[in-house]
Amino acid sequence: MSAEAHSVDIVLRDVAGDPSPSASDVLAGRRLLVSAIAAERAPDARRRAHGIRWRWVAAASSVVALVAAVAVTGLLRPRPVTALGELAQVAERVERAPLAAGTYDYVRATESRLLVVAGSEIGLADRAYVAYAVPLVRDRWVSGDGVIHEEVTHGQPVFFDSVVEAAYATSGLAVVDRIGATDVAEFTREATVLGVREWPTSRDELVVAMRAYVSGRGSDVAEVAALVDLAADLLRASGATPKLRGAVIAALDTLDVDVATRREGGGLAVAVEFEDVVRARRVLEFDASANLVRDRLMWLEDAPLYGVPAGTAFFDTQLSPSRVVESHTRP
Amino acid sequence: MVGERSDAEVIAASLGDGDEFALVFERHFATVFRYVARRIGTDAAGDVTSEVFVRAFETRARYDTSRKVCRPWLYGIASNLVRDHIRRQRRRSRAYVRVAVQEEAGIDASMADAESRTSALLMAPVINSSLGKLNDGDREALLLFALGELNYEEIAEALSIPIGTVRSRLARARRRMQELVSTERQTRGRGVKNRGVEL
Repeated sequence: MSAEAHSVDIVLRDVAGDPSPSASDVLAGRRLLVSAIAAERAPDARRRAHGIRWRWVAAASSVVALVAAVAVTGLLRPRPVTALGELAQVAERVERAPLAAGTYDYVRATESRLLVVAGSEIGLADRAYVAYAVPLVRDRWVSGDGVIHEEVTHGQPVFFDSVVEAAYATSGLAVVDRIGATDVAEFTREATVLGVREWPTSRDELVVAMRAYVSGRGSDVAEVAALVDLAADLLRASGATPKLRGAVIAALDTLDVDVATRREGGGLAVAVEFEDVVRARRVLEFDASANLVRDRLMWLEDAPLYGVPAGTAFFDTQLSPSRVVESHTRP
Repeated sequence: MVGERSDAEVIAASLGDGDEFALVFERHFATVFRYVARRIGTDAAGDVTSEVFVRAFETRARYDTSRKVCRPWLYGIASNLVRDHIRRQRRRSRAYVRVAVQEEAGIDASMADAESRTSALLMAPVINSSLGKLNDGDREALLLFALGELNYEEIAEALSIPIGTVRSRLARARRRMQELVSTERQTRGRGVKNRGVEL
């Protein structure tokens, strides 16, 4: 190990510090493990209890949810929640032929992400935070042997006021944010929620597993919002089987969510509102083939601390239908 | 005595009696917590570390009991969960904004003297940004070595890769970090960017 290289390790340790768990951290960890041990001891009883609860929630909430979807979004019109169950069956039936050598499964994701930085970072010391949105285009090719080739192009930022825009222009952050640049990466192992644990492919068991996972992570948003978030992670994970994708969509059907048809292109939208930094709405949109085609989180109220107006998307990702191509050439 | 059994023996026993696994928790929770906290901050580390042990418990049947010490196995699980946490954090607004505030607070709490506190505060965003530009494999190897304090063999076990690959990844990661940190510092001057922890 060279002296120079060793200095990298030292800097990393200095920056990271030497933290140790508090008594409450240990207690909470121990409690969670004890719950897991107890759950393993009596899995059937636990599963039954959760299954009953989720079915009851779905039945009680469906009518209210449908009305709310139309009133709030103006984009959706109501349909029976069983439509989501039908879509789950469609997802299960989707089987892709194995990719031939020299071909790739290609998907383009068009994204917008809200970035929040300290005001002092761009010379606006009188503002605690400022926010701006950066659009990205993420092109991804996956080969039959699991190699992922990804190219991410960073677009021009979008600002909510001219003061921030002017300050950003002279701050040098455009370089840090990679504005105008394209990052290319190739990897085989991707960290997704699929690797966290075994996910059941039966709806009721999956709901129990998802709920346990969300509960264990101590989410600070409403449980239903955390479950929808996890569902999106599972649906977007490379390697999710049709059976699992079907089960995830069916699991969504058991939650207290708004379900409605998409006006354009068919398919369904699933929405949930919850308290975040401000009141927020998460919407997952599926096409008629049960592909997740859009995933967004909107802030429904002004967030003055960040200078963000109501209606801003915290993130908004639109996914193109997957198709087989023969080269890493962007369209 | 129970305390003298190897981790492998305890894990094997826990297959018959799940309560046995509590000993794995008692032995390794603090160490795994430190590694996780160094990467994502103390506030989120408790939850993620707790999840590491639940995940380990649920998958213990697949543990290779020829490995007497289970720390690398736990670190492998922790690495996956940390990556997942970081990715989710970027997509969840409340956590994202909160981390921005906590980054400074976390560093404050961890540094004993004002000089190193100032130095770390200035370096943290530079280091974070540079780490974000490493490829996943190189970054994991570097952080398991520098923050997890695993040796080459243990990293190989944690990441399920040959030991030669660990050496090459570490060498490449350190070299690249030196280049990136140098470039970042020139670009940013003294600017501090609080936008999420990459460690």
